[in-house]
Amino acid sequence: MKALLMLLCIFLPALPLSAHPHVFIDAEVNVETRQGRITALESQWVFDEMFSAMVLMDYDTNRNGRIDAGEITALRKDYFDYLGKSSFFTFVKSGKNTIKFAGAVDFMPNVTGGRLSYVFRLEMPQAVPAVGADILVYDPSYYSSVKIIRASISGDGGKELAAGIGVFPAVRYYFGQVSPDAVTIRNKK
Amino acid sequence: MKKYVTLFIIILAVIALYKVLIGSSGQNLFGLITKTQGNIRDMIVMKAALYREMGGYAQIGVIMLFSFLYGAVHAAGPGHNKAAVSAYAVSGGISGVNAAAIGALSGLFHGVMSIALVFVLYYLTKMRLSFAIEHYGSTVAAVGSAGLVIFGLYLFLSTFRQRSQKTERNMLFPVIAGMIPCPATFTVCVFFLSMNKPVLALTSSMALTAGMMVTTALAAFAAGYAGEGALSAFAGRRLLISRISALSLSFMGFLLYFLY
Repeated sequence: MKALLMLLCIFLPALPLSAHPHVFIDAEVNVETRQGRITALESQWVFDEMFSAMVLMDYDTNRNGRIDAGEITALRKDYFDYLGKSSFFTFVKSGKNTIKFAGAVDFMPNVTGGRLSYVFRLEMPQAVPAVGADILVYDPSYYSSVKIIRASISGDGGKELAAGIGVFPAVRYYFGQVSPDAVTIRNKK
Repeated sequence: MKKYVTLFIIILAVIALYKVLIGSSGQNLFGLITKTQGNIRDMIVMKAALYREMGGYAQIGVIMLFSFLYGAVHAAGPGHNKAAVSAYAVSGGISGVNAAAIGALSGLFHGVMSIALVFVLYYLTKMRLSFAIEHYGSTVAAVGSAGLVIFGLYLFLSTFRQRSQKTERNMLFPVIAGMIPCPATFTVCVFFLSMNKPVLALTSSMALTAGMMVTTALAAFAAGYAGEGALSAFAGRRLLISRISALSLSFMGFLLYFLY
C-alpha cells in the first residue's frame, strides 16, 4: 500500500512543472471565405478580469479605462507582437498541412466591463479549401487557456458552410495533457 | 520475485490510472482543475467588485477564503513542488510528517517570493509591473531551477558517502524549491494593487499562499509516508531508490529551467 502511494505520489504529480494556466481567454473566430477557400481569419480575444487589470494598470497610463491611440503602440509591442512566435495561438489544419501565421494586421485593443479584448486579422499565407478545414486556437505553452465561444463564416461561403466548435483530440499539447478547441468547417447540407 | 511482480503490477496500474486521469482533454482531472481555477478566480473578481462598492470586513473574509481555495486548487495542478518535494522526501527517507513540513515551507516560500517581488517592483521601480514581473520572475525562476539541479546532484553524490539527512539540508531545500515565483500569486496580488488596495493585495495573496501550502504539504506527506514504506520494503535497493529520487529532482529542475 505504501509503495503504491509512493509511486502515485511520484508519477501523478511528476508532470509538467510549470503551473498553468494563468490567463483565461474567450475567443471568437470569424472565417473569411472566397470561392470556397479560407482567405483570412478575424479573431477577437476577451481576457479575464485579473489579467486585464494587470495590463491596464501598466498601459492605461491616463487611467481613463480605455487603451487610447497613444497607448496602443506600447501594448502591442509588449503584449501582442511577440505572439507571432506562437502563430498568434492560431493554427489552420487543412489535410495534412498546418498553416501558421507570422504576422497580424488591424490590431485593436478595447476595454469593456473591465475586460481587455484584442481584435485582429490573420491573412492566410495561402488560401486553403474551407470544407474540412479546422482552425485551432491554443497557447502551446498553456500559460493561457483559450476557449472558443463563437465561430462564424463570412464571405461567399457564409450561406453554404457551417462552423462548429469542439475539441480537436488529434492534437495534444502541454506534455500531452490538453487538446485545443477548434473551429471545424463543414457543408451545411 | 513476488515483490518485483507486485511492483511491476503497481507500475502498470499507475500508467493505466494516468491514462484515465489524463486521457481526454477537457474532461480529465487536469481539465477539471483548470476549470475550477477559472471559476474561483471569477468569484474573487466578483467579490472584489462587491467590496469596492460596499466595503466591509465580511467581504474581505470572503475574498480571503476564495483566495485560499484558489491557492489549494492551483497547487493541485502541475508546477508547485509536489513532485520535487516528493522526490526529495524519498531520496532522504524523510518521514511523512517531516515531508509535510518541508512541503508546507516550500509552498510558503513559493508564494512569499512572488509577493515580495510584486511589492518591491511596485514600490521601488517605475517599470511596467507586468513586464518587470515577467522579466525578473524569469530570472529568479532560472536561479531556482538551477538550484534544484545542483541540489539534486548534491543529494545524489551524498548517497555515495551515505550521509544522513541533515536538518540544514531540510531547511535549505524549501528555500531553493520555493524561489521559483508563482504567477498565480502575482496575478492576484497585482489585481488588488490595481484597485489601489495594497493591504488586500497582501492578505489575499497570503491566503492564496496558505492554500498552496496545504496542498503541497498533503502531497509531501503522502510521498514521505509511502517513501518510508517503500524504502523499508525494498531495503536492499534503498540506496538505488534514493539515488533515482535525487536524480529525478535534478531532472525536474532541468525541465523547469527550460519551461519557465
